[in-house]
Amino acid sequence: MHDVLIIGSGVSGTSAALRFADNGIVPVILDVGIEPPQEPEIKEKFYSYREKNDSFKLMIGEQFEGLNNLDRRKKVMPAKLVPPRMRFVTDSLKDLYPVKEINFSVIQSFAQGGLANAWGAGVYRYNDRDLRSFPIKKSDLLSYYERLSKELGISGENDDLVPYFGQDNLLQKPLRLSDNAQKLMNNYKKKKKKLNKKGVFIGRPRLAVLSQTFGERKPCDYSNLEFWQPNLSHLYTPSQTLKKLIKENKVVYKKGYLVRSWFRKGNAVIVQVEHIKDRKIEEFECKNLVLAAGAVNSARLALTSRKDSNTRLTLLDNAALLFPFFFPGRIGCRLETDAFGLTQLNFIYDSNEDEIPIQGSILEITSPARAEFFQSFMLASYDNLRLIRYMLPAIMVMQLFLPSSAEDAAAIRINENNELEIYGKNRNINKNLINKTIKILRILKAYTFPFLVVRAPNGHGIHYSGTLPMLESSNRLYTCSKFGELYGEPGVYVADASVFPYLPSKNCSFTVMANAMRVADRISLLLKGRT
Amino acid sequence: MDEAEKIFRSIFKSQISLPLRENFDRASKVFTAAYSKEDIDAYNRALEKISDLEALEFASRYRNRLPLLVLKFKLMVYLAETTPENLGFYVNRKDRRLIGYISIAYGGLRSMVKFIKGMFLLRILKNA
Repeated sequence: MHDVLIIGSGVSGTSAALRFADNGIVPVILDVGIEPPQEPEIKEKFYSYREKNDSFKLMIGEQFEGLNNLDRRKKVMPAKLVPPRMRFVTDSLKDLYPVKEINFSVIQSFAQGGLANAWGAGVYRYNDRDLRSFPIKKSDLLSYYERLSKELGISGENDDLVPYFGQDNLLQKPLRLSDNAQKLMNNYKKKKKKLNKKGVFIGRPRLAVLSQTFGERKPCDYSNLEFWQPNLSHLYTPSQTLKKLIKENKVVYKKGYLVRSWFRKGNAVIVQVEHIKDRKIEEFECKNLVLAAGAVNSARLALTSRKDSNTRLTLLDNAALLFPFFFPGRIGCRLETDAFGLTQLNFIYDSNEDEIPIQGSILEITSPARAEFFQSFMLASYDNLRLIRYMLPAIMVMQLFLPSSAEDAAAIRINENNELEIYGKNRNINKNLINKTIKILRILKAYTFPFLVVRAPNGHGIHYSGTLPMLESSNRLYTCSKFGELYGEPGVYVADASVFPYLPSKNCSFTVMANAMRVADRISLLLKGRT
Repeated sequence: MDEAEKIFRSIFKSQISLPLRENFDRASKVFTAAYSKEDIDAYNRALEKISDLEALEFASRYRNRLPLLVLKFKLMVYLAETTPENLGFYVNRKDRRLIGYISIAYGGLRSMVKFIKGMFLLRILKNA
C-alpha cells in the first residue's frame, strides 16, 4: 500500500510532490502525461527564423492545427493553445472522457505538467484581502511562497505593487520592457500622483520567467517564441520540477493512467485507473489520496466516486476582459521582433477598501501570428494587411480578470450517461468598469474605445476553481476542511484550485501551488504520527 | 487563373508561390468539406463571375453572405504569413511613421469605396 498517491502533474500535483520530497516521503503520481511532440528546437529568434525558413510546419502544422480558430463555428481555443507544438497540452480530451458544454467553453489538459505548459507564468501572492473568504491567512502560506520562489526562479521588482503582491527578496531583476511597455511605464511615472489617488497602480509583474541564469536554466532570450515552442528553459513549467524529482528518485511517476474513481476499503483508499493504451482497469491502494487533477477533473472524480448524478457543484472562473489599446505616436514604428511575448506590466485598480482590487496584465502582442489579428480589423483585406503592418506595433492588450464567487459561478455535474456537463452563467459586466479603465488608459496616453473591448468566452479565464471548497468547519459533502481533507472521505485530500471558496482577480496559480504544499505538509505530519 | 491565384492576387496584389499554392489547395479541401453544397455553389459562382473578389469578400463579411469566400480569404492570410517572401506584408521592419499614417488613412478611404463596390457586386451576383 502506498503512503501517498497524487492524481495529476500540474501546478498543484507537482508542488505537493515537491513538498513530500522535502519531507522525505516518496509519493506516487498517476498521470495521463501527454508529452510535447519531438520536434527540433528553434534556436533562433522567432522572426529571424521566419525570414529564412518556411514556417508552415511551425505555425500551421500538417494537420492544420494552427488553423483551429479559422472557422468560428468550431470551438475557439485561446491563441496560445493553437500552435501545432502546443496542441499536446489539450490533446486526447474528447477520447478520454466526453464533456457537454452549455454556455461554457472548458479548457483542460492531460499533458505532463498540465495547463501550465501554456501558462502566462504569473506568480502572485495572495494577501489577507484576497483570502478573506478563505479559512486560512497569508501567514499560513508565506513559508510555501518562499520555498516556491527558490524552486521556480521569479523575476520582478518590489515596486508600487508590493502592497498587492507582497515583498519578495528573492526576485531576479525584472525582464527588459518592450518599447510600448516602457512608454506606458514612463507615462505612469509622470501621472503617478493623479493615478494613485484614483486607486490605480502599475508595476512590473512577478513572473516565473528567468532574467538571469538559474541553476541549469538559461535566462530569457527575448525570442518571441513563448507561443510556439514548449519547454523553453527560461519559462518555468511544473514538468521541470517533476523531471528533477523523477531523476532524484523522489517521486514514482506512473504515466499513461487516467483515474476513473476511488472507493474506501477499511483504512485504505482504492483508486481505479484506466490504462489509456489498452483501456484495462487497474487498482492502486493507498493511505492518502491527493486530488490534484484540476478543479473540473477533481470534481468529476468526486462525483463519479459517489455515483452521484444529482448534485451540481459550483465552478468558479475569472471572467476575462480584453482591452486592446494603442499609442498614436507609435503607429508605423518597426515591429519589436526581440521582445518577451507575454505580460510586460501589471495594473491594479483598487477603488474601494471594501472590495477586492481588480488586477490586469498588460501584454505585448509580438508573439502570436499576425494573421490572428486580421479578423479583428474592419477594413478590406489589403487595407487590413496595412493595419497589421503599421498599426500592430503600436498596440498592446490589457487583460482584466474579474473576481468570481458562488453567485456568478458555472455549475458542473455528471449526467446519467457518465458525461460531464458544465453550465455557464452569463455575468453582467459592469460598464462603469469598462469606461473607467478606458479613461485611465487615456490618462496614460493610450487609446481604446468601448466597442473594441472583448469579453473572452465563458471558461476562457482558465482559472477553474471552487468545486470542492475548503471551509473553517467542513460539514457537508463536497467540501473540504481547511487542510483540504474531503468531508466524509478520510484520507482523501484536495490540493488543487477546487478548494478555493472564492476567486480573487489575481492569478491563482502561485497560491494553488503554495496551498498544495500546505496540504502535503499536513499529510506528512499525519504519516509521521504528529498533528 | 485558378482559385488560389485569384484569392492571393485579390489580397496581396502579386503572384502566388508554388509551395503556398500547394498548402492552400490542401487546406482548402479540408475546410470546404464542412460547407453545404449551396455555399460551395455560391462561392464557385463568385469566383467565376466577379473579378474584384476583395470588394466582394469585404461586403460579404459585413452582410454575412458567401461564408466560404470569407473563410478562404482568412485561410490565405494565415498561410501566406508562413512564407518568408510574404513576411514583409505582416511585419514592419523599419520605422516608417509618415508612411504608416498615410497608408492607414488611405486604407480607410479605399475600404469605403471597396465596400460600396462590394455591395453592388453582391447584388449583381444575386441577380446572375
